[in-house]
Amino acid sequence: MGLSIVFTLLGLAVPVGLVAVLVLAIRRRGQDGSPGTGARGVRRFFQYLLLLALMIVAAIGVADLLGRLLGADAPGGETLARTLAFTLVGLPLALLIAWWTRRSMARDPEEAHAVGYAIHLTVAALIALVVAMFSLQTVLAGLLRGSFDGGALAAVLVWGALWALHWWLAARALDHGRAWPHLLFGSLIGLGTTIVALGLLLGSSLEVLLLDGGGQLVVGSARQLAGHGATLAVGILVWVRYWLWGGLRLPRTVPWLVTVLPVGVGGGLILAVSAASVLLWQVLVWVAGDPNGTARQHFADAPGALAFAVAGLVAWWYHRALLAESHETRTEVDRVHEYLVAAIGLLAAAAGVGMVVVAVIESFTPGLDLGVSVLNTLLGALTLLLVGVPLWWLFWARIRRAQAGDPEGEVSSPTRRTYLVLLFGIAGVAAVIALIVTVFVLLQDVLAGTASGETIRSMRYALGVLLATAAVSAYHGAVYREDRAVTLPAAPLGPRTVLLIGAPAPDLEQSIRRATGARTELLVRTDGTAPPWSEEAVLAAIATQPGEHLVVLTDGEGLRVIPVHRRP
Amino acid sequence: MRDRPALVLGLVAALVAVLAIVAAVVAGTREHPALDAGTPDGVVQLYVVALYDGDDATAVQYLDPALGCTDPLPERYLAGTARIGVAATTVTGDRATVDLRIEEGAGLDTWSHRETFTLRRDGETWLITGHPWPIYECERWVD
Repeated sequence: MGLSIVFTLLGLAVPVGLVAVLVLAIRRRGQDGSPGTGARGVRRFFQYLLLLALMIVAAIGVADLLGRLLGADAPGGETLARTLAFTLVGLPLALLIAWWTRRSMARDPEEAHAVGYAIHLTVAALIALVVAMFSLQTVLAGLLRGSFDGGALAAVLVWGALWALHWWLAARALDHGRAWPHLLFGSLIGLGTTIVALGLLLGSSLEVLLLDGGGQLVVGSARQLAGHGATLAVGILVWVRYWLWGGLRLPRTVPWLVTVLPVGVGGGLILAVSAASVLLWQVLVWVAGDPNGTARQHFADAPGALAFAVAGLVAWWYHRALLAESHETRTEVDRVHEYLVAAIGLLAAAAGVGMVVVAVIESFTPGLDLGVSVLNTLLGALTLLLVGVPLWWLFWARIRRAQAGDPEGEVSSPTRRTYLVLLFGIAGVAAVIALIVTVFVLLQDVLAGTASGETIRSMRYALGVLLATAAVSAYHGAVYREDRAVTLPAAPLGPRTVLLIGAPAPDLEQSIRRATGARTELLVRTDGTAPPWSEEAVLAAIATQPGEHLVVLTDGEGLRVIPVHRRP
Repeated sequence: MRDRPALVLGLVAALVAVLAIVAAVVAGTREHPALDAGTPDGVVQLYVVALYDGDDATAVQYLDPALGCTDPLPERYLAGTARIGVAATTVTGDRATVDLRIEEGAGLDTWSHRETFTLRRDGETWLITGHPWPIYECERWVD
């Protein structure tokens, strides 16, 4: 189960991690030139890898022993020998390396700030979290069904304790800048578990209520409900701990926004759109198409689809609400959201256009349909259009309105440019693949002398993709040309690089980058004669200098800006 | 050229609407083609339709008795739904081969394969012989 996945991942991580450490070490050595930096990185890599592996081995052994104490039905012989070996060797060695790590940190505070330590804490906490989640789910599901699993309870206690220890260590050692991978990945694990479990639980409940009828005894559905309920409880616990009490309070950096926008908003919406499409299609086929079997058989997947549509909408609504706090001005984040939703709607609509082409070819070419019908394909196309077009139009019209209000701001926004370029790129790749498939199928039959209506039928999906990408490209090509007709104000002329020499100033570089777009570097004077920087004064001084490359220096006499050439 | 995107969008929408209406009309009037048991491709298609209907007794009628197949036919895997089309038919004297393109499954979960059937003439009709998909062998199933 979870453990075998953990070991596989670890096996993969070793070579990848080693290469990454070596590259980092060599790069750093190139920068500061101090010998030993690289060797320290490699030493830390093995130290933390060994610690992690020993901790996992020890936890497996201790959990199994504790499980036997709690009454788990575990075999003796080989299994017991492995458990004892894991415990007797793994536990003392893990403690020894942990003690050695702690001592080296007390001696050299830099150890605690090493990247290797941060990665170790993150990976160890997440592995312990996942194993503890699996075990807790087993325990809770067992309790709901009226049974008790001592082995799973022991695993919860041991892996839970390991997780709690690493959570505590991470909270102490990792600042905001380094805590985000732990908190955000943990949040995603919690969110994913919660949403999937919510969909499954709701789906099973609806199935029992709507399809099976109250009086009918359905074997196994109570068991299933208990399992899904336990998964949901575990998912919510993890999500609350990691997101509501952790990730949500992180500064809104790029990784945070990626978690909320493409994953939370985008993932939730894609789930909702897909599930709603399945549901709508089943209803349309039942009403107007060629349904298969009885209503019970035809709508067998409907409760699940409805449940996942609801779960996806909840995820979308929640993450959307997080971003809707400031809405007076249209920020780049608002733009990303609108273009993202428009893209998801467009994807569904384009798939609908492609399906219409497929249905047309199916209806005109010979062939026998066994259990499927062209009418159902056409209803599938209609479903995708009914779901995709309104969604796309709603958000695209909003974007068009914003563009009408502020053409320059919208057209020059990086989000819009990325959106258009991405669309052309994806459409281009899809079209090329579809074209290759079309030509391949055609030539195959032409060379074999069997070209017929059946050949066109085999090409129908590729032809559908070709036409859909052509439609998408034609429309966005027109939009792109319209964008290019908008005259943008000339880019402000400013320096390309700025070298600052003076007192430490963590935010100054970012301010200069934001104001001028220049690349910056700050060298701190060690002679102690530099007064603190004044951001306004630096920006004003840079603005008056026409040079491409500037050195900005502060000393007792004030601020000096020196234009330089990068090369002599 | 201010409304060029709107023009393109209108064109795309109109084209999709026309295509959809044409497909709906044609699909609504589409009949199952009448299969002729006097032709090799008719026999092969009747055989596959019988398999998909779970009607082994009918399917056996299209098989060469020399294959030793009886009702019920051996276990085989078939997806719930399929589309079949004849890719090629070759008749040489009393022998014929039919290439059938079979697309199993529905929606995104579709896979297609080609199967070649060998037939021999039997009076007015044709019988499937050789190792026909998806049964291949009947003898080894007979005790």
